[in-house]
Amino acid sequence: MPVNFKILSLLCATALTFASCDKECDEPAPMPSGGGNAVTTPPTYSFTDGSGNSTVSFNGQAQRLEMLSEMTALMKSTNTSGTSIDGQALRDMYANNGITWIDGPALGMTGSSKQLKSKTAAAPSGIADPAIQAQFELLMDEMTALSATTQSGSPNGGQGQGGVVVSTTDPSKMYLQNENGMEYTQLIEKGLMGAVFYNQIVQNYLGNAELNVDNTTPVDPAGGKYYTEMEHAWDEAYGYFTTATDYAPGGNGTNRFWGNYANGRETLMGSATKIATAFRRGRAAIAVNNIAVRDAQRVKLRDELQKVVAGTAIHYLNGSVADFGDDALRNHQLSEAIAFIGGLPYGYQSIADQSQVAQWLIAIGDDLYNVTVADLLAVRDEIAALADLESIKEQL
Amino acid sequence: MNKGILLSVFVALFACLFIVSCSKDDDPAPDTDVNFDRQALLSSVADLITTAYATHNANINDLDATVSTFANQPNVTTLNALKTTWRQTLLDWQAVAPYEFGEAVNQSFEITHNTYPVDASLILDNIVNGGYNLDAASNNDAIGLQAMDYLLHANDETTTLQLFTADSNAQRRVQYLVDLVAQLKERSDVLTSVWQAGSSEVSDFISNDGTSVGSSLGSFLNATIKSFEGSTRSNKLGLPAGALTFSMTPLPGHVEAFYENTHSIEYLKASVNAFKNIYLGGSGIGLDDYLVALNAQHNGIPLNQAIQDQFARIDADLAQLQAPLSDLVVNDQQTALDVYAELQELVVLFKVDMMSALGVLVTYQDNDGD
Repeated sequence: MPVNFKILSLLCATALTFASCDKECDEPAPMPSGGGNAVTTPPTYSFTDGSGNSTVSFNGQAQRLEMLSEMTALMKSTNTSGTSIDGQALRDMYANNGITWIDGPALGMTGSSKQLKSKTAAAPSGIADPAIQAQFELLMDEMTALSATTQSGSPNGGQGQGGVVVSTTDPSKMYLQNENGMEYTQLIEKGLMGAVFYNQIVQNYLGNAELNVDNTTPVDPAGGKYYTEMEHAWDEAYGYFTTATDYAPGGNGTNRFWGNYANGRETLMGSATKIATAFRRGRAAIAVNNIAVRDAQRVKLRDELQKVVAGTAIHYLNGSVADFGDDALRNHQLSEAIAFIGGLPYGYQSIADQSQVAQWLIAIGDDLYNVTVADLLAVRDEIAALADLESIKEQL
Repeated sequence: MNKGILLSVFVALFACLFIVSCSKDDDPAPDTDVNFDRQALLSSVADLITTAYATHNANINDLDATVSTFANQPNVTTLNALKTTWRQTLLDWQAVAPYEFGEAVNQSFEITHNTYPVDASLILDNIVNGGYNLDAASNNDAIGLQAMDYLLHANDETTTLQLFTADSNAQRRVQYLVDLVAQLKERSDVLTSVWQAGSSEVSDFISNDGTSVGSSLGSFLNATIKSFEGSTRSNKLGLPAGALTFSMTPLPGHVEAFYENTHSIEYLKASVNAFKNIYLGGSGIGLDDYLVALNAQHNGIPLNQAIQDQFARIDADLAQLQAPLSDLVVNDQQTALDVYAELQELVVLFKVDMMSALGVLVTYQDNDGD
């Protein structure tokens, strides 16, 4: 069964119902102990208690980022014709079901309770959406099946024929894409960046339920947990953005996921700097219990992350226009754009609801071989207008 | 020798990567201490663009008229008139191709006009089946001047006329020709109306005189160098010569205007000339003046001199090439590869040395890494 916009619009369906509720239920609540203590923004995301113990912890997020990294590496292996994915591999990785991970950073992933599936489209309700999980699993199944059909040394993908498609302008680039040009790797990787990482940051950990909690008592100093509950929630939001405590534009943490795409939007939008600064300043504010400053940073984070999602979608729409004559590159970038557009509704007070995203995906079309430049630019222009990126939409 | 070329390509690629990766964290410093009038430079460029677009639009109107005449009365005379107009349009097109930014992108000008090799069977399918959307990506290989090349030149004169008059699909074939030129005319009319002397597009282009991403200089140089690297170096010569295939097998079917066949080298020459004209700013202030003002150096000589010397070497090489190019890349591949290597030298001078000297970021390569 081919991927189409219906599936993709379903990917974000549930997140939308949450977004509308948030406007009423997630107003900043004044904290009784919120004082006006001076906040100093440190140069890195490093914080310690009075005894010098680090209070920063986001191992669960680091594991999930690494899980998606390993899944992505496996998925990208199918870009070489003749390389297939074993039957249940992607599903099992997604659910961390009996997987022995490579676990390069030694995070303790193998046998861990952490998984991507249970956090898929899960915020702010706390309950992962089974329909969205099923849509991702369907993409994984389709990808697995398609990968089994490719022949070593014979990339034969094209319109109406799923397979590996080789770039005509840069033959070193080739991608496994289905008969409509949809690239599963992008739909899954970028899709989960939206449905898990972005959703968890802006809707869960930056939400009142996670954030308006105790900020006086270390959770378990004897067990090495020197942080308060509030500090930990903020750290977990940070860990879904990047696992580099010295994250900086062009530096560490810009190799993958939102740390990468914020960095990609740095030149024109300053996104990496804005987000990293807001995370550090908000965390410093929590350390001195200055809730007003914390909440101001929360607003900036939600706003700028949404701009990164929209700006990256625009970036790839522009890229697909620039490479319009190259099926592999155009459809690769369009698959990315579609996944980022589908990520928008997972945000906080999103600029785009379900029907809006569905409308954009209809405008782009089911078959990426039949898109037109005029349609792609029309979608780009609408996103740019809503995301307040009008002035730089052509440069993104 | 092949290894030498490969090596130089790798060195160049590495140099480009290095530049791109370095410039991520430190934006090139603006050269505020040099007294140079960037608006004068942009004004020269704007004039070149205006002239190129206007000339092209006139050609397209001629093409439209000669297609109409031919459609009404297909005969040897009208066919040859059409071929002549087509050839002039493709020749002058070479001065339009380097400006694929701004409204030209919105009109996907280059892909619509000059994508090759064309897919002959797709063109025939479209003719026979009708119902095509020429704007759809799936028809990229079946449109523009190169699709017209196929229709006008794939067969001898008699057969061509027969296909347009007596063949069972003759009317559809005529209609396809009409539709091809209509698509070009529609886009060219829009572009020419948006970009003309005195328009806000042009005055904005001249006044946006910084060097950062989104500046006119940044947009124009990225488009121009990308065009030289991709459309001229790779498409016109590198791919047909086999420089870009792993096995270095020549691909003679990849030359520009394959069916017309005899003039591919002329289009390449016209293209190189267009870039030289851009570099010199036509008769006005050009990039050469800017590099001189900056006192930019390359291996101990002025960068301007290095670039002009490289243009001279390329011109001398091109003058030696024997048409048709589709035969040359097979029978004398080494000569083609040598010219390709000279074009590549110029890519490096433009993309690495000049951009660095001007403090303009190369943005046309996707650096998201996947």
